Amino acid sequence: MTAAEENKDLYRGEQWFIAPDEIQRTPPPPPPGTSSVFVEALNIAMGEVKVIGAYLSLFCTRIEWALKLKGVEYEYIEEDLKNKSPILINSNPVHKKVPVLLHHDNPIVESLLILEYIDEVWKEKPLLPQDPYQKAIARFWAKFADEKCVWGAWGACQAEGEEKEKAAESAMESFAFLEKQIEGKMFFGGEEIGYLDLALGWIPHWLNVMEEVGDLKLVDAEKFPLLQEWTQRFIQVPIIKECLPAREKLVNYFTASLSYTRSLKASHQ
Amino acid sequence: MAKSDVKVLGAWPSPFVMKPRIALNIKSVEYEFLQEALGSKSELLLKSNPVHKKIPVLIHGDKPVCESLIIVEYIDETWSSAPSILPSDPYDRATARFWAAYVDDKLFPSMKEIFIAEGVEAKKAAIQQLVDGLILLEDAYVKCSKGKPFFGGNEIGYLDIAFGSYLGWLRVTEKFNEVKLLDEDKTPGLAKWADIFCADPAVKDVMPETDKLAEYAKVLAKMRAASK
Repeated sequence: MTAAEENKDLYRGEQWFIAPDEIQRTPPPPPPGTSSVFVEALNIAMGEVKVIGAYLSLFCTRIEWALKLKGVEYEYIEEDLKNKSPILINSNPVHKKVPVLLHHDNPIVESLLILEYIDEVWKEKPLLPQDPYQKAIARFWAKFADEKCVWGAWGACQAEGEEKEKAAESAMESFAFLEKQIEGKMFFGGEEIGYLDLALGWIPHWLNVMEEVGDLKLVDAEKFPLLQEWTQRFIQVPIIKECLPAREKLVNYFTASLSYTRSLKASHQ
Repeated sequence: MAKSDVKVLGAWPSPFVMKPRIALNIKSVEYEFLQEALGSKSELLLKSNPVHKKIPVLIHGDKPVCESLIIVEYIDETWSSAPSILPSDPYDRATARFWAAYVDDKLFPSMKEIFIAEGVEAKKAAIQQLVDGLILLEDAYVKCSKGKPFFGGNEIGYLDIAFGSYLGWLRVTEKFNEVKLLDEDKTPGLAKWADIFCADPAVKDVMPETDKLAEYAKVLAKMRAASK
């Protein structure tokens, strides 16, 4: 694969080409005074659920949010996407991307599918609505947002000149649909966070950084007041907040990938 | 339920439209099929799918549901008595959904590539890419079917619908390019499965004949050339 072809795939779906190797993720130690039998049981239970992820990836964080909301213990494995591990390649041979959920060593891939799997296995605190029509609506908007809003926003941030204006307009049209969806609700899931909130949870943090790096405001309080209010509510939820990657690292990441993309484009002209 | 309570907005050649139609047939749900004319979009379509303006749309009562695979899941959950379309085990469901998305996102686009590719080399490369994908799907078929006729087991399921709906266009691709895409050597399981799928009562009346679809493809190609 040429660099250009690989780059084309870089932000499509869940592949992030820079995984900071100084980020170490280790499971928290068991509380002091815990008996060794209990610790052993805890380790076995944790060994049941593993997440292969990349610290900065918005697609991976949504999985951790879901597991934490359900109170599911898991082992997190940080993947170096520049040097993919055998465990990743074996568990996701088709796409070789993160996130991957391993449950009893069975791999489940594609972040939105993983959310559905988690919801179906651990039934407490449901993420998806029970009603089939509401479920269909939630799935529709999650798919729409992943296809149009994520790439629309990043595309607009990367673009320059006239192209940037056009891309921004198109991205904002997509966000306008989301503004309508949150009308009259605390969260997209209703009174509490649900599947669609997790799917859109990149907006408060990752989009914010993309906008700064791309010198562009897509979701502002004036044009999208309801969406803006939702982002504030969402980001304050403790479980959500605790999984967010460090902002400066995200800034560095997006800055690097922006100049990489632009330099590739320049070299092809 | 009155027949007019369930409508499908679509067009007979579309593989996407076929998916909800097969699902409704499996559930023995009567529906009204409202066909969109080629090259134009009805008021009802624009009203029911303002975001994408695309078919299929399922209208149940006054509720529109869009995106073919989302519609299939909605049908399975709404008319929840047997036969089930999605598997019951969460891991099997995730597997079926994964491959269904793969078919939509990778396989079908590589089929379209073959139509668009210009020149012998480009066509050959496009065909190879599709065949590589079909071989992956053959492996998925063996694992999912576990010796039974369908991806879903003894009866048609979600992944059968998701992939099977493309068989008409796959046959047209074979015809135009004089190549066998599902064959007994590379994809023996799928080659057999394709015939059983197309003959199934839930499928046979909605699967277009290859010749009719081939004629339609020629009309589309002319339209595309004229618009250049």
